[in-house]
Amino acid sequence: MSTPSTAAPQLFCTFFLGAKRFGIRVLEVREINRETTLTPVPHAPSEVRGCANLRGQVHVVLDIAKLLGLDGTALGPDSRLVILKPTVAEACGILVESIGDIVELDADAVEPWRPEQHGAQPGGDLIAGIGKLDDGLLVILNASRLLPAVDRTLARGG
Amino acid sequence: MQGERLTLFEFVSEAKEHLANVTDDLLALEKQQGDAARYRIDRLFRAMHSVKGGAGFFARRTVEELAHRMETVLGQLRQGRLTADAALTDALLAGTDRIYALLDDIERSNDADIADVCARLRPFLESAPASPLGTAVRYRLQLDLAEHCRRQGRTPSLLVRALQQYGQIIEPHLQSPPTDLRRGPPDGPLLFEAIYASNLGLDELRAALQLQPEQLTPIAGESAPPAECSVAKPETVQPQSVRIHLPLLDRLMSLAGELVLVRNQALQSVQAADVPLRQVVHRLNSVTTALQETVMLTRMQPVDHLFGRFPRLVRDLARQLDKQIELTLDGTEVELDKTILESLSDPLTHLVRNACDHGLETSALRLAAGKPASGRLLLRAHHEGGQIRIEVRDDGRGIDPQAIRRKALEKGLRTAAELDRLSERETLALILLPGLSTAAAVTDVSGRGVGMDVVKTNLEQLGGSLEIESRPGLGTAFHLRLPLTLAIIPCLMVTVDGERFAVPQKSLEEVLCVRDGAALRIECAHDQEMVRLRHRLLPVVRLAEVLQRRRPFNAATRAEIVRKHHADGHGVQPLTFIVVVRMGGERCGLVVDGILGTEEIVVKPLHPLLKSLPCFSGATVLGDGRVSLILDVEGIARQAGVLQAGVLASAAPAVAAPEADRQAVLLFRHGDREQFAVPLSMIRRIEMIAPGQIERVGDSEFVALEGTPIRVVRLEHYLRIAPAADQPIMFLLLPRHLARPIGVLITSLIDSVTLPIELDTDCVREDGVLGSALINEQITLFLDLFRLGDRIEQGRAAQTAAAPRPARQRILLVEDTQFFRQVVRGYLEADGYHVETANHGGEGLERLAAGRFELVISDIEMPVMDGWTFARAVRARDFDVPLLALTTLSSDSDRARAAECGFDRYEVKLDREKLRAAVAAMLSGEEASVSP
Repeated sequence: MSTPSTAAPQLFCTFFLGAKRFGIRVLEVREINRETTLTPVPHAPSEVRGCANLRGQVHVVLDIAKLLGLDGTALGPDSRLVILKPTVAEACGILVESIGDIVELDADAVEPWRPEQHGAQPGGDLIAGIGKLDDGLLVILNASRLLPAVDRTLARGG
Repeated sequence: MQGERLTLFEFVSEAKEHLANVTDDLLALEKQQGDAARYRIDRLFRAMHSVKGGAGFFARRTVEELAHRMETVLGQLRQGRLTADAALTDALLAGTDRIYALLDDIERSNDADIADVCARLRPFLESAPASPLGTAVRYRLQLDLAEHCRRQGRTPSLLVRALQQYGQIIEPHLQSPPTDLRRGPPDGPLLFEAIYASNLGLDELRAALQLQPEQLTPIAGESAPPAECSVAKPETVQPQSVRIHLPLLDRLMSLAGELVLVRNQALQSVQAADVPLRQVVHRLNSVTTALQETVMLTRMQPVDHLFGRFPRLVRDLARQLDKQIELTLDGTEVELDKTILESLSDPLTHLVRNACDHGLETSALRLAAGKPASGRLLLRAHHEGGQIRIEVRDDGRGIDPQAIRRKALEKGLRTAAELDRLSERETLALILLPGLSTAAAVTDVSGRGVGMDVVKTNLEQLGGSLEIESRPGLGTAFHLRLPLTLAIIPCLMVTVDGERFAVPQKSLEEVLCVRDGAALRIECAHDQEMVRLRHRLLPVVRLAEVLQRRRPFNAATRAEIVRKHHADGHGVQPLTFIVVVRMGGERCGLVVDGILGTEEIVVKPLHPLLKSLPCFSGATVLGDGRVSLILDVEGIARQAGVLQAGVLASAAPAVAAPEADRQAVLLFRHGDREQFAVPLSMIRRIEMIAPGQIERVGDSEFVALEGTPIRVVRLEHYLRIAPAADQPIMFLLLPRHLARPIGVLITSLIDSVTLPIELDTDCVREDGVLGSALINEQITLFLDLFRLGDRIEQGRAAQTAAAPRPARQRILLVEDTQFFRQVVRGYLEADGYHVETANHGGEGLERLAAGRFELVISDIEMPVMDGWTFARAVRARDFDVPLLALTTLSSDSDRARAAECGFDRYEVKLDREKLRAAVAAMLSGEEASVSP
C-alpha cells in the first residue's frame, strides 16, 4: 500500500498547496467537489477544517496543509474538496487550494519516502513516496493515514 | 473471497430468519398438543431442514449436524413417538440457541464443540422406537461380530437390541468358519450380514450404533431418508416483506433528506410568474414530503421484535426458579424506532427478570396469600400523546415502602425528616438511586433495586422516563415513557459568532431577552455570571466563550470572562438572548447572539473523529444544505464548570411559605395606576398589537389573529379603574379555557413571578376581580377572567353550560391552596351552589362527618392527608357522596389511580367549563367514570 510495487503505471490526482504539488492515488479518491462552505467545529483540532454536507451525509473536512506542518490551507475561488473513498477514510474530505491534472507514473518513477533520510518532520508519516515528473516532483500522500493522524492529535489533547 | 463471504452472510441471515419462529413454536408446542400443534411441528421441521440444507451447502459441519439431529427429534415428534414435554423442549431450545451462536460466528463454526448439545439431544434420538418400514431406507450391514464385541465391549445381544431400536434387521446371516468345537467355543471371525432398514441417516446410525464406515453402507438405488415425508401444510401467507441491508436504509434516509434540500432550492429559485414551472415544483414538493415520511416509516419496527424474546426468557426463569408465571403480551403491533427498540432491550430484560425473580412469589406463597398459583406478568405497549408507553406489571408481592425507607436511612441517602416528607410514589422512586441498588438491598426491599439506576439512566439517554407504582401484596408496575423516534427532534436554532447551532427542545426551558435598561440583567457573583430569574439565581454561560476555548474553564478563564464583559460595570450588551436549559435537576442560561426559531431536524451522528468532543451531541443538515452542530447542554455546562456551581443557584432566597401555596402569576399594568395579576396557567398566549389593528364592529372591538376575530376587552369598561390611553405598542392577553375567545387589552407587561399569595377578598370587591394581594409592595388586583368572559357574553355562557341551578346544593371543597380554593369556590358560588371548604383530607373527613353534602371536590396533592388517602377513607367509612378529583395531575396512571381510590370523576384544575359541566352532571346523578 505504501509504495506502488507493481510494474503497472498508476494514476494520481494532483493538487496544490501554495506552489507545492501533492498527489493522491486516483483509486483512493471518490470525487472532487466545488462546494467549499464548511461549518467549523469548535474544540476540534486545528487539522479539522470543519464539516460539510455531501448528499445528506455529514463529512469531516481536514486541513491537509496543517497536517503536513505547513500554514493552513487558504480558501479561495479555486479551492476544492477532495472526497476520499469510504474504504480509505470514512466520510472524510480534504480541503486543497487548487486542483491539478491527473498524472500517470510508472512504478519506477516513484521513489519511496524514507523518513530516516529526512529526519522527523511533521506529517512525514503521511507521505508515501516522491514521484518524478518531467516538470518537477510530486509528493504522494498516503490517504488512509490522514484520519489516524488527526485522531492522534486529538488523543494528545488537541 | 468477498463474494463468497457475502453469500455466506446471506446464508446466516436466511438461517436466522428460518429460526425466528422456532423458539415461539417450541414454547407453544409445550402447551398445545394434538392437531393444533401439528402445524407448528411441520413448520419447525421445515425450518431445521432448511438450515441443515444451507449449512451442508456451505460446509458448515457443526451447524449441519446439529440441525440434523434436531430435525430427527422433530421427526419423531411429528410421528407421535415423542411428546413435547419440558425436558424435550429444553433440549431443543438449547439446540436452537447453539445454532444461533454458531451462526453468529459462522467463520469459526466448524471448530466449535457441539458435543454437549448433541448429548442433550441424544436421549430423544435413542428413545425413538423403530419406525415402520414404509418410510425407512435400507442399508447393508456387514461386520465381524466377534471383533466388534471385543472392541466395543458389548455382547451381541446388546448390539442386536440397539439395532432394533433404530430400525429393523432384515435377512440376517451369521457365518462362522468351520471350527473344531472340541477346542472350545469358536474364537475366529464371526461374520454378521444383514439388510438393515431405518429412517435415520447413515452418519447418525454409524454414530448411534458405534459402527465403522465399512460396516454399514448404503444400498445403491436407495435414496436418503425423505426429510418431509408427510404432506406439510402449504404456507398460506406469503411474507409481505423483504430484507434490506441497514446501511442501505440509512442511506435512503439521507438521500430523502437531500431531496428535501433540492426541493427547497427549487422552491426559492422558481419565479412567481412562471406558473407552469411553479406547479411542477409544487408537485415535487408534495412528493418529496411524502417520500421523506415514508422513508421515516422504514425505521419503525413493531415492539413485537422486542417482546418476542420474553416468552422464552420468562419460561426459562420460571423453570429455573420453580415458579408458575403466565406472561401476557399486549400491543405488540405498536411501532417504535429501530434504534430505540434496540437500546430498550437491556432495560426491559432487566425489569422482566426482576419481576420474575423478586416480584412474583412461588406458587405455595401465592396460594397462601389467596392468589392464583400462577403469577401474572403483563408487558404492554401503547401510544400516548406522541410517545410510546411500555408497562411491565406483575401481580406479585409488591415493594414495601417501609423497607425502602429503612434502607435509605441505613445507607445515609436520606434523613428521617426528608423521608417523612416524601409521598409514597417518591419513596418508591428511591430505588432508582444508585446507592440503593445494591445486592444487600435486594433481600430487604423484596429484591427490586439491582441495577435499577442503570435502567433509569438507559431510559433517560433515550429521552424517556421511568415511573414505579406498587402496592404491597398486590403487585408492581413499571411505566416506561419513550419518544417515537430519535431520528427527528425539535430544536431551537440559535446563532453564536455567525454560526448556527441547534439546542434540543427537550433540554429547553425558556428564552430570556436582556436589554439595556431592563429589569433583568447579568450580574456577577464572584467569578460566575448570574441572572435573577423570578427571584432565583441562575448561572449564565456565554456560549461564545465556551466554544472559543477547548479546555474546560478554570478560575483564570472565568475571571478573564468576567473582566471582559463587566469592565464597564453593568455587563449587558445592547441586546442579549439567554436560552435557559436544564440538565437533570440543574438549570443554567446560555448566552447566545440570536434566536432563529424552532425547527424539526434530522439527527446525524458526528464523525467518529469528533465523537469525543463534549459539547456536541450530533449534527444536522439545514434547509440550505449546510451542516449545523447540535449542542450537548450538559457537556457545555460541565465545560463551563456550572454543574458544580449549581449549589450556588439552589441557594436561592429562603422562602417562608410552603411550596404548595406559591403561584406563578403574570404581572401587568393597564393605565398608569393599577397593577394586575392573572395566574400564568390561565393564559394561553400573549400577543403584541398596535391599536391600529383593532377594528370596531358596532359597539364592540375586534382584532383578527390567525384568521379568527377576537373580541377585545378593555378593562376600564368592566372595572372601576382609571381609563388607559392607547400606546403605540400594546398587549393582548389570550386566556385559556374560555368558551369564546377574548383578548384582554393591557398597556404593559411587568414580569412573571412565582410567589406565595394570600388573596384578600374584602379589600377590593368587584365583579370580575377575584381579590387583591400585595406584590412588590403594591396592591395588585387578581382578575377573574372567566367572570369577565361571562359578563361580555352576557347570557350566552349560562345557555351553553345548561347547568340547572337547584336550590343551594351543598358542595364540600377540599383544597390546600388558598388561591385555588378561592377561585374554585368563586366558580361554584357563581352557579348558585353552597360551598364549604376544608384545607386537607383530614379536615374534609371532619366536615363530612358533621354535615350532609351532595358532592365532594378534592385536590390530590395536599399536606396532612392527600386526596388519595382521603378518597379511600371516604369510601371506607361508607359516606354516600360522589367524589370529584380536581387536580393538576393528568396522566392516565393518575386517572386509573383515582378510580382505584374511589373517585367518581376526574377533572383538571382551572378548566372552568369542564368543571361546571362535571359538577352539574354529578349532581344530577349522571354516571361518569374516571377512566379516560
